[in-house]
Amino acid sequence: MWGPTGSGKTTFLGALNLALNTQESPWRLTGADDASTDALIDMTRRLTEGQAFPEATQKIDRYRWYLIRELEERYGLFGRKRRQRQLQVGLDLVDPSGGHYASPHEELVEYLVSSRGIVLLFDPEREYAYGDAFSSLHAMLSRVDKRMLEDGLLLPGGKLPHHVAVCVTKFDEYRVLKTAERLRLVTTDLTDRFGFPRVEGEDRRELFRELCAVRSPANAQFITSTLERYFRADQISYFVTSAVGFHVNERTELYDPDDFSNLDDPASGPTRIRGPVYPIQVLEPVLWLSERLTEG
Amino acid sequence: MAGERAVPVEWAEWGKRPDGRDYGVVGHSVGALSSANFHRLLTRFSTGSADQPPVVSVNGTSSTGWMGLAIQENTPELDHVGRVIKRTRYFCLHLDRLEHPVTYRELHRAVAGIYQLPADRRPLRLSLAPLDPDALAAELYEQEQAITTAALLLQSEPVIRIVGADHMPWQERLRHLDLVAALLPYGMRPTLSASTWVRSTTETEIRLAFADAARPGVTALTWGEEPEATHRLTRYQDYRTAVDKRGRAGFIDYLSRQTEPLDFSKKGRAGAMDAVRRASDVAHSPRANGAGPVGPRVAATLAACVESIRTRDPVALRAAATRLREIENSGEREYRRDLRSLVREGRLLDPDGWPRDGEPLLPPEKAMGFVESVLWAVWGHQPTAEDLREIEADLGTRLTPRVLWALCATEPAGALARLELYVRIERAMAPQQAAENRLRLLGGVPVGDLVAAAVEPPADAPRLATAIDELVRRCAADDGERSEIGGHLAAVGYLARPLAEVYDAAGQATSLRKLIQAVHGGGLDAMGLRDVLRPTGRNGMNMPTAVLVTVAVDLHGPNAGAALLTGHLPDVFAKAGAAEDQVWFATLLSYSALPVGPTEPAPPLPPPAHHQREVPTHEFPPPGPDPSGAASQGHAPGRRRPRFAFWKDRARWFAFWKGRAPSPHGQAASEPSPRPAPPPSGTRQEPRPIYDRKNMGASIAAILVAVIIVVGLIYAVVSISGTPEPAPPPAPTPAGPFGEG
Repeated sequence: MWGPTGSGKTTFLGALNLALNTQESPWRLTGADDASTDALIDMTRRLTEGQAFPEATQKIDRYRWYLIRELEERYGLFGRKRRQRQLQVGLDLVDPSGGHYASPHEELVEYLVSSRGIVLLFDPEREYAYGDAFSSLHAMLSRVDKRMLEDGLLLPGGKLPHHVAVCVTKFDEYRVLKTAERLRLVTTDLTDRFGFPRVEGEDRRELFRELCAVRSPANAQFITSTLERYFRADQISYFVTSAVGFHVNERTELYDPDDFSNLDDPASGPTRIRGPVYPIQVLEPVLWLSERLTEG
Repeated sequence: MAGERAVPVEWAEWGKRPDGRDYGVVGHSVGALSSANFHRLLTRFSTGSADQPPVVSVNGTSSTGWMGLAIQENTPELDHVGRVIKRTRYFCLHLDRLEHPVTYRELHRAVAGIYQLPADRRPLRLSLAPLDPDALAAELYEQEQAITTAALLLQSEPVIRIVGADHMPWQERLRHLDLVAALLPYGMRPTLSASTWVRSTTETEIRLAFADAARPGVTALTWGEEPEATHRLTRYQDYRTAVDKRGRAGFIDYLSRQTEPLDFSKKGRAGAMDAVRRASDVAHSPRANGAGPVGPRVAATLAACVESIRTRDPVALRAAATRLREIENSGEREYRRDLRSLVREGRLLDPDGWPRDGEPLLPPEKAMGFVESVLWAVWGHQPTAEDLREIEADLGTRLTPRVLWALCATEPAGALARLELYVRIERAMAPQQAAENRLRLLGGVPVGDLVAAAVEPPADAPRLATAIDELVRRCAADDGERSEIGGHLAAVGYLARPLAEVYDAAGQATSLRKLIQAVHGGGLDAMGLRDVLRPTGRNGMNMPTAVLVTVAVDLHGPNAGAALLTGHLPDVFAKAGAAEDQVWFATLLSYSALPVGPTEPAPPLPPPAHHQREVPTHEFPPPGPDPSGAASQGHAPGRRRPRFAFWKDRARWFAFWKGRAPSPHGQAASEPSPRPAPPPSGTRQEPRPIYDRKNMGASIAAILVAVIIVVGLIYAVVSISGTPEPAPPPAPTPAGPFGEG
């Protein structure tokens, strides 16, 4: 997990389990050890029962989870026979405090060197406030690149071997959604029972570029080019996500474009989650990474 | 604490502002440590966000000798997404500035109330009380697991997480960390990082902490459980040796003076283990037990106990109790009188009787430990029967359950002490608890010691009853032990005489019947009868009591008369000094040729021996099917039977009977030792002596007449009843399967 302070890394992880349930996914998430299982239970409970965000990470938290699903496999002559098989993907997730990216810690560099999949969270709200996405990204990538070069771990083309799922977070925030709507990038999945808005395909990269420029147009160029300079283009994928999702109208049980925020009004005090959590595109980045890394 | 020199303490605050995004150092003192130093320390040893603050953690820097204590708490403020903002106060001091070792709790006590840190950012100056080895040693009794934890910390390079302590308040956890640290050389303090809680998923450098769960790769210890495998570790055993040899307080005191910097590297751990092993060498210890007389130290400590009870000072009392525990089993009798007077003065064995305002001075579980300490210090770990009586006297009443429990932890010296202790336990405790202690106290006592303790004068009914029960239990449990038990009992007349001192005839009969039946497996045969009624005592001068004869005859059945005649009477006469070469003796034996029953053949007549002065052993009936039991007297073949010298020494015997000369066997011609007064409620009758040395002739004549009458009666009965019924024919043995015979 890579992202600056407050970009929602821990909340993203907490929403992962809920996403599996709400999307009726064939996958299920389970802990690989007691500590990780406890954390998974705690995060899920906070988001559902407590309608509160997980505790802020103060240093580096590490979770070991498994994504498990059942597969039907055909075999025999012409594949006429079928049998059930279990597919299990191990997720070794490192969730550092955002401050670690601002001033790169050797410990975090080590984790990135040893990993092969990165979920890179981009918080447009933070970028609008601080505009530090590029500097923190560049500082960390430079260190990782140096270490991997020294260790001879770079790809033949000289790029980093990681697969990167770039996630634009907080899609449920007013300014993010409105930006996407203004750019006519929002669609609706007709199969979605709530009719939540989405950004699909190449439009996600487009939205990412646009949001990188909220502070300074130059940043957009720097960030995207930095990513494609360090990683192979086919190893980068873009997603537009929201951990807490949109609010669902209690009467119509549908997404309401006029009342979509799932957070309480910040003016009335600290932000709390307003209703049930329906994560948007939280599962997809993890499954994409799992798929790509398994292929590799 | 007055007079302690204040030490400078640097501080920092870790947290975030409500509008801030990330945690960090939000304030710090201006001193030797910079903001970056604090940031690094607090991130390296982060505990993660606590669900249930406060969390107290300790850490330090090995290279520079700083030791810090962090307290993470909730603030009333919320961050931008409504999460409670945590605040960590961090206090750091340099060990070189300390004049003496301190505990984590003392440091926490000094800083816990400082919420407003100086606005001018100057370091704090704090007075810290020195580490008290006695107090820590007392607490170690309650948290023995600290020894395991300390040994594990030095075993390899582990990260230890203690799980299963969710119910424990943080203060108890901090106490445990203090105890573990006290069991390591003080020079390790800067490198020992520990916490009352860490988030299980947080990647932290904290070495020892309580946690909700343990991750793979860390050593997990479950609170309250001692892993068996740990106890086999060399380092654990080294620890136990050091603790046992040196005493807990002495061990902790020694380690607190080992200030040479050590870390948890292989070399550092080896150095620490060297210090632990050195502590085992009692010669290093000024507090070692056995240096000089122990009594004065015990007396001083008991006096401190008495004083702290009088002034109602529980802290001083606990410290004194710990010192008592450290004093190894004094057992010095010359100080006993002084120590006992202190015990009586302070009612040290009766915590319920101490003056109190409201709360008792010691909670019940600690009162138990205190009584144990007093008992061990004054009477040692191996109290004798006399000690038990002393304890009872000092208590002023019967032994209370608390004292009995404490005594159960000792190893009473000798069978008599064990019997006496068990008698008291049985009286005061529940049957189940008594049964458990019975096995522990009496299970391993040799039979001979048990029997000897039972007959120890003065006779005591509960002690006798307990011994008989134990002997009966052993007979039932192990057939092989029966013969040994029978041998020891026969030597003391089956306890008949002490029983006669404390029970009436019915009581004696009940006990004797139970005992004899247990040893002989039900009824008595002729050999058993002879064995039971054999004269005992020095030179066989103690005749069986009337009740014993009655019980034995009853257990033998209808042919008891003949058995008595052939089995018992020769012993009686022999012990009375009659030689077999006397005419009347042989004549008496000849009566045993009378038919006595269809199932028991008549014993063979002994060969005539009228002219023999000495009777060689081989002329006696050979061992084997000898119903008279003559073979059971234990004369080995080839050995000369002791000659009865009554006739030869008759002049001296005569003088002895008259009370004018010592016995021919060297016994003083005095009366036997005076018997204690019989119990007032008893209806016991004084057993009539079978023979009287002053009227020996008349006694023998009376017995002869009685025997002749008995034999005559038996003969008459047998004659009148005619020929005995033939035995029924044996049942036909089935030749094959049912229906084919």
